[in-house]
Amino acid sequence: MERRTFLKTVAAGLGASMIGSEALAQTAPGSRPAKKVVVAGAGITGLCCAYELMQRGIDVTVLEASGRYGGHVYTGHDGLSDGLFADYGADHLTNPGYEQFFRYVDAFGLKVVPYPNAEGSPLPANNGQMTMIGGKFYSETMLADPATQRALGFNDREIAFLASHPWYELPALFLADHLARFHDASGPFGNGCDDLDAIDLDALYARQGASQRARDYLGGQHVNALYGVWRLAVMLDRGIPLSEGETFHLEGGNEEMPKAFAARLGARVKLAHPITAIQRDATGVTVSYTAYGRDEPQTVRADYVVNCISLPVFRRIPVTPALSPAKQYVVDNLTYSSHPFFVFEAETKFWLDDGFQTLAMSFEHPDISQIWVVPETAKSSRVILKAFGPAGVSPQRVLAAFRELYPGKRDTIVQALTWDWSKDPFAPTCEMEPFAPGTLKQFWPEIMKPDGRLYFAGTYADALSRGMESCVRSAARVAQEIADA
Amino acid sequence: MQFKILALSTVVLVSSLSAALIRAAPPTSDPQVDITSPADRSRLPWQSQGSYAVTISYDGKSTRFDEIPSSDVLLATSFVPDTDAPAARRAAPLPQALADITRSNCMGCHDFNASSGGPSFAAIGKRYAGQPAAAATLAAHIRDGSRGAWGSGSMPPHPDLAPAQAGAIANWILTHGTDPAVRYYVGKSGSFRMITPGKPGPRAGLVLSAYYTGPLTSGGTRNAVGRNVVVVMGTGS
Repeated sequence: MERRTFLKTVAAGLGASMIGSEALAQTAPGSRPAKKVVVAGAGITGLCCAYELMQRGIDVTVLEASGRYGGHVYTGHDGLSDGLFADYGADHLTNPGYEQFFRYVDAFGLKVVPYPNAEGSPLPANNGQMTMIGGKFYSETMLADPATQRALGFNDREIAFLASHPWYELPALFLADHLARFHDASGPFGNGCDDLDAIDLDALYARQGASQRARDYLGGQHVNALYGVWRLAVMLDRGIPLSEGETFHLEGGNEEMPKAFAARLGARVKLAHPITAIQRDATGVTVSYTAYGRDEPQTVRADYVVNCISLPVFRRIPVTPALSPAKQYVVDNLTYSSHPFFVFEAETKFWLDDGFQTLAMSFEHPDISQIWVVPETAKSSRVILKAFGPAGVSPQRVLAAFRELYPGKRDTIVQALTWDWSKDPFAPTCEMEPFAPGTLKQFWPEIMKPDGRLYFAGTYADALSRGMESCVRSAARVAQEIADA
Repeated sequence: MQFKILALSTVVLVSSLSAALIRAAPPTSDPQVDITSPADRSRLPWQSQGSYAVTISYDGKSTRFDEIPSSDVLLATSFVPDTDAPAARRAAPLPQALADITRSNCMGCHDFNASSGGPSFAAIGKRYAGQPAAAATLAAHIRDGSRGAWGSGSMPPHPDLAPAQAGAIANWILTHGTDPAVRYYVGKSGSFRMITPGKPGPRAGLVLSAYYTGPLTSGGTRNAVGRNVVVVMGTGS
């Protein structure tokens, strides 16, 4: 595909979707035979892509290695009381920022539930958020006090800015000039900031006069500065505020969305059918797979394959002829995050007894960095809390860390659970990590491009990698590209 | 009649004793490791990808029924300039550090040569190459966890690994992680790459060695029996 055409399709983004166009699912009489596509992986990306292809009258089969669909979108009930549940993977949606996702919500009649403080996202002012800095807890009021800010190490310019802005808007103070240069957010290069590819975001903040305290707060070490600025430019372009917007989840759990796609795809989704090889030639693609419980490989021929498997798992599948060196670089070098959620079930809202409005706290402990409350998921006096901690740590260890740090009298937590994605052979990874300094040129725009008849969709394959929204946006984009091919 | 009863009793006794002896006999102490694919002395073009499949049976359990987890299988591919040389047929013993890497949760986030949830061992080895305190730093990261060393992600502490084990893993990553001639793959099936560290000669190829890295029973060893080594000859250049 011509680069210009490709980027135009990318920029088209939302316009590529054909939600609810059921009539278009039929091939017109006398027209050429429907294209045949194999979608690799039945996570939210694969299911969405297959749905969009089906809507375009394309013959689609989804091959999923695992015995369940949904991948990293997983709502778990086991171990919890009263019918309570928790999302162990994709946690929340935002408004603005999930425009494509909300189209599916509306089309499928799903319901969203407000979920404030999701993953520690900012609450409206004075709602009881507590932040630990240097071993001490600070309330929002304390953090808004210029004397506290000065004692923490912010400089005069930052303190003046924070008098009228929340902390999370600090990037705007340092990057406003760079953002103003970004006239075309559909790609990172050619906006007068290309030199930033060489340095990390922390170095850029330092260059812009940020204090060490501001740099500690903002992070940015090992994060490609051009990627960081571009990301904010895309957010600006899409109307997403630096607070990341209001947060929600789906009623019944976020897995309701994969379920809705799967219900419409029916027998097109083949579970426990791992792909074992992909062979390409000039006229099509032969996909080898094994059906559940059978050893002998089977094959299916298709015009195109869309890889919707995360790249660390995808690279276990041999592709013949091999991928181009540029695409292989992307497959081998894209880094993902893989963090578990730790789910606590408490008998009561124990923090109310300690005078806290809510339980919205961040910590500096190696085993726990954040805890927040999940809105009621079932009729129950019990309550679900979620916490952030590193992969591989047991939930009991995370709970012990919380109990060591919680500044109240006692908690009523009776259950601590997790889903260890690092041990999941099918969907071990979550979102992509930011690119490292000096590497963006090797990733962009290769990361979005097909390699012959092999297309790529997933959370990484959108101009803004941002949860389930980038999954469904990339899925709809690829479906349109194949329809146009 | 008495004789018949006696004879029958003797048969029963002997059978019982035999059964008891069979039950009491120690199981084979070595894992049965078989590389079922690729075929030995098969040919693949350099730079292409091939499929591999390994079955392991040990202590009455098998990978076939997931009684031995797939993550207990390690495949090493080593470049050899001459696939006909006798040395090409010998699997090097598995370093204990590699067994510890696969038995702890390292592979959940790391891969040997490619990025995943964390940096590859090759990237770690490259970053710390030549730094005198690198082994101690890495061992401390393994034992105590670390944050921010490679981006926003964090590495959990590993109290399950003794200081000596963490030190051996750190040393292995530093000394072998960047070896361009050897690649490692975890899992009972998957793909491997026909990678060559330089221009290959006409008799060059890869030696594939499969290992069982799971727990050993008392008296067990990692000396595999079965077809745990195959040679794949490279074609093209």
